[in-house]
Amino acid sequence: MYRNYLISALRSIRQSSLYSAISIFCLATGITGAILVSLYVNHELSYDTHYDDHQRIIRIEGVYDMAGASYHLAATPFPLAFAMMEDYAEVENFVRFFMREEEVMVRSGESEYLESGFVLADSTVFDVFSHSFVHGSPEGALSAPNTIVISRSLAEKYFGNEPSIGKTLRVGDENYSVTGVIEDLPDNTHFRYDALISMSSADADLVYSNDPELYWNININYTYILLHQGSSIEEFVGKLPGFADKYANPMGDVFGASATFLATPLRETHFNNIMMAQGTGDRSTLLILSLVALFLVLIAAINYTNLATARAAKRSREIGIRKVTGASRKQLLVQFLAESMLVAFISLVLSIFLAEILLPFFNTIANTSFSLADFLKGTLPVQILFITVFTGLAAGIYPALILSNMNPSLIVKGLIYRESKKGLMRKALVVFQFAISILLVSGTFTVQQQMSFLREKPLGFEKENRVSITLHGSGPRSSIETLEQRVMQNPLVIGTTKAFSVPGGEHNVNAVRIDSDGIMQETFIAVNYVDLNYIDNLGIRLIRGRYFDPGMRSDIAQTAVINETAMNKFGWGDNIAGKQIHMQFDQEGNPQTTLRVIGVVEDFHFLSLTNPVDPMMLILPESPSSFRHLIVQYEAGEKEQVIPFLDSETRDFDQSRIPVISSLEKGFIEEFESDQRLGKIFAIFSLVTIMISFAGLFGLSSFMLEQRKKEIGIRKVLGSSAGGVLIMLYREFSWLILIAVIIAAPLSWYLMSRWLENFTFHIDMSLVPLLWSAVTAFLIAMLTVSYHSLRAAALNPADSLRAE
Amino acid sequence: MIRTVELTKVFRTEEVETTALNKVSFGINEGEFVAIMGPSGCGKSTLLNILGLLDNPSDGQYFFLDHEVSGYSEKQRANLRKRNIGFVFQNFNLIDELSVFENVELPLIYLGYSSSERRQRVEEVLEQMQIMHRKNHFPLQLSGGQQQRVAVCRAVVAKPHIILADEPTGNLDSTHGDEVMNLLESLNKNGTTIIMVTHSQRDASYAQRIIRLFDGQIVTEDKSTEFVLTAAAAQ
Repeated sequence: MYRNYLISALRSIRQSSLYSAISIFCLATGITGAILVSLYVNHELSYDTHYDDHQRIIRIEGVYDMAGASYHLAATPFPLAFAMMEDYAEVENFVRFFMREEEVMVRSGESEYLESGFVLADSTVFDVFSHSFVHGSPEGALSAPNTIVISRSLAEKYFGNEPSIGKTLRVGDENYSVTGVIEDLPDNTHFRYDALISMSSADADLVYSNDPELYWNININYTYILLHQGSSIEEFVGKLPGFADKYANPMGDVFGASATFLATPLRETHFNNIMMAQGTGDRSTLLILSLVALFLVLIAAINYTNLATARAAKRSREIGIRKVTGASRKQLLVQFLAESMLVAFISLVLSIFLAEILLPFFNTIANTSFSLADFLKGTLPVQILFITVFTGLAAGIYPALILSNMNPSLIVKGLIYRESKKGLMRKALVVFQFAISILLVSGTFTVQQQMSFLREKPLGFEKENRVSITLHGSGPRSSIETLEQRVMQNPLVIGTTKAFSVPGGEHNVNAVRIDSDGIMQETFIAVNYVDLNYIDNLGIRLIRGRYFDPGMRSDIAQTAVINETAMNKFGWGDNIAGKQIHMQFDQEGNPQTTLRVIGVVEDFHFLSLTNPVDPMMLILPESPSSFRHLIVQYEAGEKEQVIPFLDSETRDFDQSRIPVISSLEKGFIEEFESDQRLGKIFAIFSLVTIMISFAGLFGLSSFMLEQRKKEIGIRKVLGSSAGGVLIMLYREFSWLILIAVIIAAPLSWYLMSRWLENFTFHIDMSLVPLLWSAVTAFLIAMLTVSYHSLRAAALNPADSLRAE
Repeated sequence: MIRTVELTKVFRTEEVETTALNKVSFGINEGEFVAIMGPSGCGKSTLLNILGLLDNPSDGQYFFLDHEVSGYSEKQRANLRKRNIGFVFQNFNLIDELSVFENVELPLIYLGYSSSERRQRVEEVLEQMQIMHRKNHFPLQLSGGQQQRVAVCRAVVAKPHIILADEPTGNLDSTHGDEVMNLLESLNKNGTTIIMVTHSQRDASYAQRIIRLFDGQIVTEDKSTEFVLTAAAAQ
């Protein structure tokens, strides 16, 4: 019996090849989208599960409440791990990671490399996180100072086929002996490193000291705790509040800050997007992508449903014959479901090819590195099978119910099946398709608008034609002026300025005390050490008082220029005369430094656009070693010439490092990379959705017009012109789109305003994206329908009536 | 074998009520060859649908093989139908996507025959109807007469008690029409009951009895021989 189903299914596919091709292509596209999204979602959900003990590992995080603001940090104080080990019986072991610098200079023999992912770790790292060793063994690998364990890729890069163990690498200014080679960490690791340096190589005062005054306030290392088998993470977390009071809060009280420690299970750290967190992902992106993939599959399934029910008339004879020759309703139901299943599986085969072709593009957009082999990993094959069966069922169930329910007595006289209720269900499905398309298109418009808003937003300073050279180490920093003079000799360089932080980069935030309406208040302010040219060079406007005066020695380290927000938040109105900022407190809480406020600059975005403009002050430091960046302004359009010049000058100036030269725009663009990726994915999916919807509409309109040939013929016989018929047909499809717009509009409005709320600075919601998407949908729909409508309207009524 | 008592069929739309059959009572015995005649719209097809268990009457009783089936569900009717009735249609109603063999095989599939049994039975029938050489062809590759022969094969392959033929020669020229009528006649001689709706006097002449319908009611039931004589005289 199934052979017979298969034969008639295959032949029916072949016979109506255009419509089958539309169905199969759309389903394949939908399934491809779903497969790629599943691949991505699986990958995201699998973070860190490759560690043997991942269920027992937690990351300790700190929450600091200061001056009404709350800071949630992934980094912790150095002594925390030791204190936890001592205070809690649940703790079996711990490891701390500490990154001295984002990028380091590595020398192996004669070759040098700029590397990232060089991390200091306690020797316990291999007891907490399982690693497989290619060479060497975990025991004692990182016990001694100046030992290093590197990844397989690095070993191959540095030493080729030679054995790595015992070899020396120069990292920064020190030599390290290679004691082990580990397998590269997989992509789905939230804390990734290529080399581990023994913690004992670091300044013991810093990493092993338990001095509460100093080291419970520095949050620069990451602490991971391995709990004993059978210990509950929840119970452990429940005990943490007392811990902060015991160790961290006595010092914090001086600043009016209070700390709380939290723990996140390893598997969830990837989605815990907090300050200083490594390798963070976004759960809501996964949700959005999954929804979009579901929509894609549904829209493709609807195409099949619509085309299959539209073809009911053509198949009614076959169904009647089958019923007359003894088929039961159930048997027919099974037959038609088998048919849609067959189509789904043919689509699956096609979609695997499609997925393979699209994988490189997908990897680029999603910033992943999937290969075809990943399709067979874990439960993905089962998921793909499920997606296919779901698609087959979703597509086939309605036509199967309709077709199997046809009355066989109709066909005895060759009567064909006529739809009841004017094909209401089919129209509803078309409306649903359009509504989804409009939703996605308006979403795409909104995302693009927001992204260009962020790109073009005036930042309050000039970022164009400026780069910053980052200097490392006290030596190069203290002689930054030498580099500055050398750079200035190039006629293409217009000006320079020096600063501790650059706009868009990280800024220190200090606890300060200010006099607000006669009351002393503790608060926070971002601090930047800058030179005399800073506001001139960056085009920042001074709105009150004055900037630092080169002639006044008393300006150095004793005065501050604040921003507008600071002035307003401190309640100073617009009068800054005699205002002071106290900072750097001793243990009794007495300020060591007091700054006179001499001027106010207009607000500018000194932090990236994910942050609001906070209070900030500029200080003229005593020594140039307070500067980390040399900002260089060059002639517009001369970047190609200037960058190599700066590179060679800097290389010559500090021979121990590869120069780091970055555009001032960098900090403002990078921050939104994931949103831009989302925008691209959105754009692609909405394009595909539209394509599928309109392929379906194309097929459907041909059937609908086929069925109405007679009506059109009669109308023409009665005097309607071809144009009149065309207008009638357009009007009907326009209604469907209008209803779709009405359904999509509130949904799109709600979702998009929710999304925009994620941004500190965002566009106002407007009807424009919705209107655009409605117009786009309308135009494409009309174009699609026109092909068949024009043909139908132009038909000779004599022919169409005879055909009936 | 078949008996109807005041069989009535009313079609209702929102505003109009049409009585297609009005208290029709008659019987047909096993082994009979009966023709149903009448002008267009007289209720022939409606009657055939009900006799063929494709539709239920609105009122009255219908005894099929001694079962009162007028209240049967679609499922019950389908079950009874596939075991006992074969259909032959004016427009052949073969499935274009299936080959001759597969078309004839269809009823056996739904009756749950094994594939070897099906092969044997189908080939037997195709052989008998002399269309075996066309078994791998598709309906659209055959002449009308050949298509109808295939349809007859399909109707008889499950060895039904009754064959319902709806204008079986309506789409055929006279040579092919005669061929089909001869087939039906020989089936009847071998014991199959045949009920045939027809416009053609010539075809009706093969029947042993004619039921004439007019406006949903039986007007005459004659022996075909007498009728043919009259008809011949009229021609």
